[in-house]
Amino acid sequence: MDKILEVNDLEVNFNTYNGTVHAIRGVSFDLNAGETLAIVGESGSGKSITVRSIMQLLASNSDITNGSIKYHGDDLLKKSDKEMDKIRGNKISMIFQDPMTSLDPTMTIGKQVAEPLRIHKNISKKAALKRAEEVLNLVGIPNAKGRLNDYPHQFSGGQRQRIVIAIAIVDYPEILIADEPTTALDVTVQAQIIDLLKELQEKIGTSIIFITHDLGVVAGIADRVAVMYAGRLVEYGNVDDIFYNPQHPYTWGLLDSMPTLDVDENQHLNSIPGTPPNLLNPPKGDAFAPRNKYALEIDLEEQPPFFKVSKNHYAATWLLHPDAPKVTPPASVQRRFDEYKKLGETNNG
Amino acid sequence: MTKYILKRILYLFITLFIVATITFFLMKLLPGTPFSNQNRLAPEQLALVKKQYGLDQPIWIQYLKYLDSLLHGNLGTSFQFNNEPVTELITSRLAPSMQIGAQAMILGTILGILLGAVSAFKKDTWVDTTATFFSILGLSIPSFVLAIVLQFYLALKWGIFPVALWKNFQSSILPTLALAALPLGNIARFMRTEMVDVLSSDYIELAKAKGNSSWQVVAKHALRNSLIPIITIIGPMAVGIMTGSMVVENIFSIPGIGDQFVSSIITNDYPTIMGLTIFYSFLLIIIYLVVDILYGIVDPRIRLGNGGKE
Repeated sequence: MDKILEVNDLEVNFNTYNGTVHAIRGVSFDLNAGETLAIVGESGSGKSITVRSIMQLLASNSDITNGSIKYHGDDLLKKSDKEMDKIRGNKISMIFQDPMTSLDPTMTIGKQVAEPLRIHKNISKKAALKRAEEVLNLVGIPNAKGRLNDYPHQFSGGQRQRIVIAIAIVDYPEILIADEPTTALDVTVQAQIIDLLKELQEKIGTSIIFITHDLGVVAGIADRVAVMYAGRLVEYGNVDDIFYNPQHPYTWGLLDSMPTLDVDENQHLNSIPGTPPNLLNPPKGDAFAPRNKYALEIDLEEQPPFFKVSKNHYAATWLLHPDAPKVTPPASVQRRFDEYKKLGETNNG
Repeated sequence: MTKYILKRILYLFITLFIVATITFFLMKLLPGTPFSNQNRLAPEQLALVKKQYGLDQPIWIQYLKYLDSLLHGNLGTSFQFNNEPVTELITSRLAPSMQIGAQAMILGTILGILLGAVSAFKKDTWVDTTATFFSILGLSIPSFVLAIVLQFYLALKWGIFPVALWKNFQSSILPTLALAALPLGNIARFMRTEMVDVLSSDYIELAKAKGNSSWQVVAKHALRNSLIPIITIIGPMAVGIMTGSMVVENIFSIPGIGDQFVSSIITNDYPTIMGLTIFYSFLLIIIYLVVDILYGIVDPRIRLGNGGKE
């Protein structure tokens, strides 16, 4: 498979009044042509910052201190603003989290959808609007032709997210970054948007980086999954590896805290105890160790390297070291593997 | 939209009627008569003059007569100023006031928007600090002080512009500058705050993600969205500038309308007071109507008649 994007050892700091926040502490991953990579993790784990680094859309107090982001071998971090403008919205585009605030309230949606074409392609206004209409049809806006001159406030939340998606795909990007595109929507609309993204991916063959904190959504869309915690990846692999054979205790915790349909009504939903570390002073060892009941002594002292579990499946936990005691995932997590298998089959069938 | 404007014009006439009524009776409460200074008139002559102007009749008859002539577009003749018709009096004196008022508003608004936008765009840099310094200066210096300073340096000392009087376009420049400082400072402050807010919004990030360069983002998306609250303050400010230019007009000896208003009140010149009040009300209502229409143009969410649902 073709690697179109390679992120290597990315480090991002934020300068704040309280000091330097080490938001991203060495993240590496790659993206193959046509695949969907899901990045999961809780709020503040650095998912959004990672993808905003790719787009070079970070806040002004940020500082990329290390690493490279290679797009077809070209380091995006070395490009000027002007060169990045040619890539943004053209080769790499992005879908944002909140459809209610992502659209310009004073511009017609026809113009907003046509805008990337007007910027990147030498194309007439009329032709761009025609193309906008096609794409709006594609994302499922009823009567798209008649609604080109309408404004965002005349659409519902779900429709607005479809419009935001239309803006992102209008120029057939090679990479589509979706930053929690379903978080602000209700569950039925969520499912529609996920289906739409899958359908569009088949039609235009784009690669997708999908950011979410919802593992249920991941199971439905991803080929590969990267789990992020406190500014680092802790585990990555194919979607099956993560759901049926997770190795990192943090991944176990995430899976365990996902509600399923056949939970007993008297049963508490499991959660991960504690809170994520303060990234003003990142911990020396494994950042998850203080919340991890399987933590070893070395976890507090030294950052675990990635251990290979199988082809494409890696996890950064000392538990995989040959000398470590054998630990199996908690029973409640193991019980879920079968459920996920069923769930996965219904999702794909 | 047409229906809305027609409705607003109907309201305009109702408002003018109410303004005319209140002003008429308030004016009659002023002490003295238009002729109280004419000591040389014998009582018989005074009675004759009063009769000539209809001032001997009961107030309500005077009121009805006034309304009648108003309906025919007649504002009466002035008791002062050589018995000139009030309509002519206003139009001849209106031009200078309106010209410097409008020039000051246009200049202040455009420069204010630019200054505020640049300030927000270059937030927390020396550009921002400098722009903020000038806008606060404009806000806090009273227009008559600025008028005198401008007059002293630009006219008296360096002789670039005429010191005073109303002759040509050159003579309108200094009063315009003096009046423009306040709207400029005010609008720049508002614009900066609003634009900083807009620039941090999600749709601006999306606009960047589309591949717009920084200035394209400002020109295509940020500017228009920042203008919405600016329009709100432009209305009252325009009225303030157009009616409150009296002192500046005085400093530059401009034969404007403000000066005339004051002297007509001092001399109980009833028709002129009425005429000017009605005219100012008319101006005010029209400016607010224009502001409301502008709103709709800039912000589609409050555009009328398209059933905009939220």
